[in-house]
Amino acid sequence: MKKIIPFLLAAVLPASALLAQSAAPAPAAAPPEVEEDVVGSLDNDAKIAIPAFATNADVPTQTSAGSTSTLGFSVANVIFADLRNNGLFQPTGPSSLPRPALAQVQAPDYGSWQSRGVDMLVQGYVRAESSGNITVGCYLYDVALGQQRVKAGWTVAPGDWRRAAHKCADLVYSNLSGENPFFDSRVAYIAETGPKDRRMKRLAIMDSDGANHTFLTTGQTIALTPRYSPDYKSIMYLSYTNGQPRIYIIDPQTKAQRLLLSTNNPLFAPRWSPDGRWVLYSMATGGNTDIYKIPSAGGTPIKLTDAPGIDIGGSFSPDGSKIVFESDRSGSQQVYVMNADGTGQRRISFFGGRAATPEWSPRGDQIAFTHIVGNLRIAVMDPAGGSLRYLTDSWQDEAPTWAPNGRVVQFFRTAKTSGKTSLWQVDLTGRNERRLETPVDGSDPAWGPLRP
Amino acid sequence: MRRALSREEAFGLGLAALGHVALAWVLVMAKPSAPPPPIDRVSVTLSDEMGAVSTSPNPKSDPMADKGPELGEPAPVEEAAPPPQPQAQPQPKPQPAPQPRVAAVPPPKPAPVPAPKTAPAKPQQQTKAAPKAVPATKTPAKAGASSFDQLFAKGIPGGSSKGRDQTSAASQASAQQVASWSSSINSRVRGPWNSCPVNGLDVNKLRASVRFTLDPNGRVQSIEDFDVTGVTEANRAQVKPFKDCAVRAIRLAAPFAGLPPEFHDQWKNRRLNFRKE
Repeated sequence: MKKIIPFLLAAVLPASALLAQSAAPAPAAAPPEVEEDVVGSLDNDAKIAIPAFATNADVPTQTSAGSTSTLGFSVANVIFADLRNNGLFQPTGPSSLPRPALAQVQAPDYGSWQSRGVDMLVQGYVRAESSGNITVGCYLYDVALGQQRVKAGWTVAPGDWRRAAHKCADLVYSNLSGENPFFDSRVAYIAETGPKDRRMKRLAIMDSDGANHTFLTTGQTIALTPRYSPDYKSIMYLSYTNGQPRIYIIDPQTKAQRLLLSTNNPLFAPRWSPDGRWVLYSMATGGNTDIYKIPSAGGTPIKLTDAPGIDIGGSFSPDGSKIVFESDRSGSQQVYVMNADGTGQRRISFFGGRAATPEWSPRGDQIAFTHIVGNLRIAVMDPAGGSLRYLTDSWQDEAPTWAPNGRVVQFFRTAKTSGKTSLWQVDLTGRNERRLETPVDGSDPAWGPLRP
Repeated sequence: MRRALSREEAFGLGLAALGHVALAWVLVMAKPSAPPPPIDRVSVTLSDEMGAVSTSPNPKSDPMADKGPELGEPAPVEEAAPPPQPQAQPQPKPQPAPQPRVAAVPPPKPAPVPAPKTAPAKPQQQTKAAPKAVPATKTPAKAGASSFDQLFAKGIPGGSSKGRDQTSAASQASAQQVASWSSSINSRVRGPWNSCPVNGLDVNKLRASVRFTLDPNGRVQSIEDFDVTGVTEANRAQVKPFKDCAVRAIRLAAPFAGLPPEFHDQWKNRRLNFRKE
């Protein structure tokens, strides 16, 4: 019997253990706090109304837009197009909205805007000064809360009225997104015309929205890879005349240009340093291409790389301490980083395929480049070579350039069959991709900084 | 007496031996017991979200009998003039009423109470109470009220209950109720949260956990200051708009309707975790 007892005990124990468990005391008082998740969408659902800007008196102006009344409509339309074309928010333009009276600009009728389902309201006024200048006032209201968020005003020359509109769009964008502005900026690019074998490539500039388009060179020489100087006063570009490569610096106002460098060796991809005092470029000598820097005022070049193979396409970090560049020293094109004096060179791209044309973001947190795995795609990574993110997915997208705030990238796309090139732009989320309208084909875009 | 064992002892020993053999035979021959029946498994969920108090219906609750609504316009001025008296009168009258109720409360004597006795008793009490109450107050007769409605004004004749409890039978809010309050708050906050523009790289990594309190009317009493988490180099600029939008969403969604004041303690402290994806 004694042997049976342990057996019985063993059989009973688990049951009693279960009983003990189920009889465990309940936890003490639950916290009297109800917690739940609110999950929103990343889509831009904010509805922004931009009615025509009011005016105190409808008088003629020297602007291209006409009287102050039509100017007020055009200013609102430029703001509307800026926000809509960049996929920011859900804007409604002046064509489909009532025009508020001048008195309502500073005291909006919140009720009527709320009944239209509007979340934010951009209002303003246009006033012609006796000097001929134009004053534009810009107000952003939170309609749902019934509060003013921000306001600003600018007095501009008649020819700069679109800049005032871009500044208002920038004010709205910055206030709502927390990002730095970027609309009041210009873009340089290479305008391409003519047959494939005798392509005419001219340097051209335009506003960030494509307005005020101007050709800077005549097309007698081939222009390539332009870059705006940090102070906007000059544009550097590469010129080929009868196979002779030269680096020129041109004044976009006067179209006067000076020669920075001329050699019999192939030159590539000149870039400004952030302070504008240096110019990076690449030069091929005897099958070896290396990166050099030269004072932008002219002087003696300094060689920064010495590896066998092709080192090309340097781009400074915004603080000027580092340079990102492309090298095939590992056997294929990859992205490398080095100090501004050429020391500490190391590879950062390990994504498979090839990686080319790196460009450091003006904000410093990202490097844009062309990733080549079959197709050419625009991608970004962090400066350590992590967080790869594709922004485009087409046949041939290349040569990224950054918006002044480092949140939007422009590039050029080559069509598969026709070989025609066009300028495109995409934001860092990859969601808002659009083509920039240019009078002719375009390549090698270069987005300048915010206008001073 | 040379034998070591007496006859009785031998008999007893033999009996014992026989018994042991029998027991052994039984133990050996008994069919190996069938495998123990599978234990009925009950899935148990261990949850922290336990109410400190029961949310099940109160067994002692004594819900008020169904009553017909009072229809029609309020009585004209003539009857409105003498309100103080009728109001004062009904107060003492209900006092005798509790006595029969106490007797009728089911739990104390569930079995002994014979059904036939209570059933006839109720109509009597109600018919007695009704004539008393009607002349005393005089006010319930509204202009336009149908006689049908008035018949049921005091409850359904023969209705099983004479209780006066007008609140829900449960003494605490059930999980379903709590869930419905949550959804009413969440659905109202999500709209303004979506219409507030926060956009850009890594915004999906940002989190705002906002604690706030509501007053009994569902209005926001206070919002505790908080930090946005999930900040990266890429989304740093969106931290302030993200925070502002979370506060704005709560402010715009308030006041929250449909929250029962009697359960204010259970829904007044809230925490909303905001994100976008």
